[in-house]
Amino acid sequence: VDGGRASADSDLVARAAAGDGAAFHALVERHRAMVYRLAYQFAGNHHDAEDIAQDVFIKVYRSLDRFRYDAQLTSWLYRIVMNACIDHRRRQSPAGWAPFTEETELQMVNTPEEGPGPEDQAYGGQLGEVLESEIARLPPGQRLVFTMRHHEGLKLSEIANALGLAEGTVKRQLHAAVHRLRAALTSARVTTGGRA
Amino acid sequence: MNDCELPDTPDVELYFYGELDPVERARVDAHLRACDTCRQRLEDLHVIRRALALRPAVDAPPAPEASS
Repeated sequence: VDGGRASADSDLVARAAAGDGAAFHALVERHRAMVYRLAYQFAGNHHDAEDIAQDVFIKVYRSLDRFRYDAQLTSWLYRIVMNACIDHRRRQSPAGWAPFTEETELQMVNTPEEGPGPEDQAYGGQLGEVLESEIARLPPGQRLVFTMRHHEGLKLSEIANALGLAEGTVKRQLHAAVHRLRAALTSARVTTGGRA
Repeated sequence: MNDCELPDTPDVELYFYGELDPVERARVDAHLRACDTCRQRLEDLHVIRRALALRPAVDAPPAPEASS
């Protein structure tokens, strides 16, 4: 990780915590794209992604004084994004949602999201769309781990650190996500007669 | 069909994502040379990467103007 960038982050956090609004604005601008991408991958639509991103930066603002300066800001942000995603989903369907801990996360592993399956989507013809749709149907833990590894390029150890999970758990999540995507790929190939 | 030593393990994903140490990587490399099933699993990951890379990038909307 870029040490200069990290120290610039720490500097911005320190100035923002001291009441410097421009520093907070710069902090938001620096990380907004990453926060939004993760929120979008989780929520699957721009409206909810905007809500989540807004929640994230409100939480960041309110907890600036609790930032540990020996930590990476990005790791801290990933954790806040994850919790904001979970909070958002809990608000949408209060019954089945619990705080994101390793235990509850393991319970969620095999709980698919609702939505059209790959067989339905494959008729659209675009494999990328089929896969995106399947990603949206992954359980939240798998979706976050896959997104952070595949889209954001984080190492599994970084993901484990950011999410407060054991690395073995993160590996299992990635494996389960890839397993589902492979199944969607196979389905799409069958449905499209091998064109996928 | 061959007898795959890596069924239901994350080894092929970890290989694909560069998460294995050199010794483990060499082990999986050797396995891939002999195992059609795992070569297909690896190829699937490349297909998934290419397909997702073709999707439109998700861009954050323009930032609201700073109030100060």
